[in-house]
Parts: sequence; structure tokens; C-alpha cells
Amino acid sequence: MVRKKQGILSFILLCLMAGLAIFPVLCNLVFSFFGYGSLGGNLEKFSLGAYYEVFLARPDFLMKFWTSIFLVTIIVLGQVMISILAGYGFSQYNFPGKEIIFFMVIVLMIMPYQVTLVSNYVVINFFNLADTYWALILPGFFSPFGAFLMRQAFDYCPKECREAAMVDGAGGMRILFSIMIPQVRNIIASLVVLSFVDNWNMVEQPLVYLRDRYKYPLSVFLAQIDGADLGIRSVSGVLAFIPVILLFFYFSDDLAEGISISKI
Amino acid sequence: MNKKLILIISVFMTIFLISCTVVSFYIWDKNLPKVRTYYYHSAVLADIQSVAYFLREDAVVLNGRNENVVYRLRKRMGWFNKEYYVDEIPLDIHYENDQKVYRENGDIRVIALGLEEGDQIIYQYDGYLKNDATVKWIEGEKGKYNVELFD
Repeated sequence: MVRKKQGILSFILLCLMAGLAIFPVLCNLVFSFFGYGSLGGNLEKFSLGAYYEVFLARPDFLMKFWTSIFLVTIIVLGQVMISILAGYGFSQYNFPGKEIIFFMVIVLMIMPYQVTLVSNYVVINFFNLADTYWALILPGFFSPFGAFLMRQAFDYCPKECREAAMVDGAGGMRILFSIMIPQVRNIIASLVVLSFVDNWNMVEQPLVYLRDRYKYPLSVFLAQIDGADLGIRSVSGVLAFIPVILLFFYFSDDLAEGISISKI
Repeated sequence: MNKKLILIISVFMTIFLISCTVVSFYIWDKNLPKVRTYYYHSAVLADIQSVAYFLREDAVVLNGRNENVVYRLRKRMGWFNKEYYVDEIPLDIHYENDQKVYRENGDIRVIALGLEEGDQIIYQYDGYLKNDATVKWIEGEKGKYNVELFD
């Protein structure tokens, strides 16, 4: 009886928290169709005017969307590759200073991005990469969190598999791609989703490293949108969460499993 | 959720968004305000021995905040190629004895700091103009030195 009551209480609490999380998204959807005044004021008529403005009237919104897709795809691919190689190295190999270097990776992971923004800008300016997409892509390739996650993932793999492959004559790269990566597929999927979401929402880096407003991704545009019609702002938000929601649904099973296995 | 279904939805969404992008470029280009410009010559008045600003009366307009402004044409890099845009310059109309001051060719005297010799001043446009808006340059009077419109 007590357990049943606890179960019901937990269920109610989780429903409330889910409602709180979903409420802004639902508001966004409602405002995109009904415009201003939908809550507490007179209901506007159902209208697709905001959708016409964002999707058809001018190309600004969609071009920023494609800019974001282009940037984030390249960053995520690079980040996953480098995280896999770094995590594999930290997990399966012993080399001098390994623990110190890994400790520094964890310190970087905990540090907010704003702390390294200025030093990154100095380096980017030195290489004349300011106001180019490389200023966003190259720093984005290295993710301390990705290296940490992949190390946890490869630690989980039984060492016997690797040793058996070595006995059979497989080299380091062959072992990595044919044996280790298939075992941590779920965690790589989690890394893809988390990395995508993180880079999809980046605002500070484009504002600091880019000067040409035509190069700004959609996240910067959403952060700066001001004075525009509420309907347009809501539709821009809808446009921004389409790829994220599709990616999440595609990798939802892998995401849950990957996070639980990596013990984060 | 079925991964195959999500993949199919993603492909359709991509095709839909690409089509919308192409169509939006076409619609936006068709709806761009069209402008006509003339070449601005600065003037130096002998009596005050300094630069004075004279503009065509139809080039002085009211913006959305009910302020007197003049629009000049500038060029910048657009999405794929160079485009023209509007640069708003606030001004005050110069009055003497509560009257506007006219030059012999009909231009009125204004105080518009920021105007430079060779600027392409917009005197006629359709639609609505605002600062930094992209426009289509229909006709303009090229200056003596055919000044390029770069920032």
C-alpha cells in the first residue's frame, strides 16, 4: 500500500516536471499559429502568416538555418572522431603523464566556455581565422566532455576482446574500428546527440569570432531577435527545434542506454 | 519510434526546406523595393566658407520614428553576391526666417553630417524603406569618377 502511494506520488511529480519542461514548447507552437494575445488576451484568429514570413517571404531565416546545419554537422563529425581517438588512448594505453593530462581534460570540461573565450580569440586572430567559419569549427573539434565520455565507454569494454584481437595480429586502428567502436555504438550515439544540441545552441562563439552578420547561425539570430512579431519569433523557434527533435527521436534508445552505461 | 520512419520524415523535411529556401529567394527578390538615385555633389558656401548640404526636396523623407532622414545607397556582400542596401542619415532642415532655403536648382539646404561627395542619394522608391534594408537599384546617375559603392 505504501509502495503504491509512493508510486502514485512519483508519477504525479514526474508529470508536473514534464509539464513544466514541455509548456514553453507548447506555448511556442500555439503562438506560432495564433500570434500575440493568445494567453490572457483575446484569441487571435488562426493564421499561417508567420509561417509564410519565415518560410517563404524572405530567405534570411532559412539561410541561417542551413548555416547552422552546415556548421554543426562538421563540428559534430570532427568532435566524435577526435573524442573516440582521445578516449581510446586514455582508456587502453599507458603513457607518461596520462593521468595528469586526463585531469587537465576534466578541469577544461568543468570550466565554463566563457573563461577560454578571450584566449581562443587571440589564437584565432593570430592565424587570421577571425570572421571565418574555421574560427567556430576548429575550436569546436575538441570536446573535453567527449573525450571523458569515450574514455568511460572504452573502460567498459572487456580488455580480453582487445587482447584476443592483438593475438590474431590486428593493429591498433583495426582493433579500434572493428572491435571497440561497435561495442560503444550507443555511447557514440549519445555523444552525437549531446554534441549536436550543445553546438546548435552556441551563441557566444559566433558573436565573438564572426563579424559578418550573414555568417551568423540561427541560434544567434534567435538570441538577438527583438521587436519582431511574436508569431515570427515563435516560428523561428519551431524551425530551430526541428533537427534537434528528429535527431533525438532517431537516437532516443541509444541515448538512454549510452548515458546509463557511461554512468553520467 | 521507428528509425526508418524518422529517416523518411527527415528526408521529406530536408526537401521541403530546400524548396522553401529557393522559393523564398525568388519571392524576396521580386518584392525588394526599387530605388532611383542621383549623384550628390557637396557645396561650399563662400559666405560661411564651409560645407553646406543641399538635397533634392523629394530625397528628404520621414522615417518610421517621424524624423527627417535621407537614404543613401551602399553596397555589401549579400548571401551569394553583392547587394545594395540603404543607409539612413538623420538630418535637420535648415531654416532662415522660418523659411526653407532653396538653391537655384530647387534643392533645399539641410544639416546632414555624414553625407559625402559621390553618395548615391535615393530620391524615389516604391514600398517601404528602413535603415539597412536591401533594395534594387533601378536607375542612378553615375558620378564623374564612377564611384564604387563600397562601405
